[in-house]
Amino acid sequence: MTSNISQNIAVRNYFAGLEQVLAGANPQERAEIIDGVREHFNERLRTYGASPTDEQVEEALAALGSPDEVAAAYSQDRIEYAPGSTIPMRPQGGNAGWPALLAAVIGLAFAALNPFFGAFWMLILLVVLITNRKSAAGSPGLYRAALYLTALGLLASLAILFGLISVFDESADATGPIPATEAVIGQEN
Amino acid sequence: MVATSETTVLTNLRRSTLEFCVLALLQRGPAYGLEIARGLGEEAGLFESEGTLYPLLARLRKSGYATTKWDTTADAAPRRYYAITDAGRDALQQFTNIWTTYSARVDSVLKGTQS
Repeated sequence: MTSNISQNIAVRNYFAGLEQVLAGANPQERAEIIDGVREHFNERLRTYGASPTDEQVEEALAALGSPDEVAAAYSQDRIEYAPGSTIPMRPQGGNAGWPALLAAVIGLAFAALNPFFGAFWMLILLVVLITNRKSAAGSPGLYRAALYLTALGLLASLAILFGLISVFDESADATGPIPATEAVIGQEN
Repeated sequence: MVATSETTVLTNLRRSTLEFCVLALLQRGPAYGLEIARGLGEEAGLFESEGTLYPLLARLRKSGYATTKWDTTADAAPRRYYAITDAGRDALQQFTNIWTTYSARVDSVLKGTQS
């Protein structure tokens, strides 16, 4: 690949994309596939002459197919010829870690201001996070942190809530029952 | 009922036949990647795109059906040549035997349904 072509943004993006989608592949196979695709691309460019035009470079890239197509071919190949094996491809998208962590922090703030609403928020969030955990394939660490934080926040809010309830119960017991006459007067007012 | 499109049919057929088409090409002699793609026919639909040949070629090499060798003798840049091995020839022979009978049977059934 000549320096001009290797600096072409589309070419750089293509091979960076290919590296990325094959990141989880067997290292030796990944290197072999990427080298093969690169050699193929360079070989095709040479057929255009010494100075291929931008259109010819685009055409050669298009002929390769997208990096996703190459990764899909690799993935399909390995599933068929290695039954039971899974291909640890780099997860695409599903980067829900940061939003989950933000929601957990907001929940903690809620819990600090009002344990009742805090516990309610944390419970809902915990259910949502558990049911949608596959959407965080791109940031599993952050998502796990959000899960732990939410569970911790839920327990803390519940502890505070039960603590407050028992304090109120004790103070109610200490003041004793309201005389029946006072209660009736209170209702009439 | 499973929806069938031209792409689905082609994808399924490629899965079972493409590697043997590549081995058949290599049986004629060693070839580099672009030669293999052109030998298969870029417009024939035997493969999805040129880049998708390389996972297949890597597997053929890994499974012992093909070997690779660099040719540095030409004036042009070094080329990686793929060559069929004895194991590859055996696999191709086995496929050819099955395919000949199988495709004839499929043709016969398809022609029967058309008449």
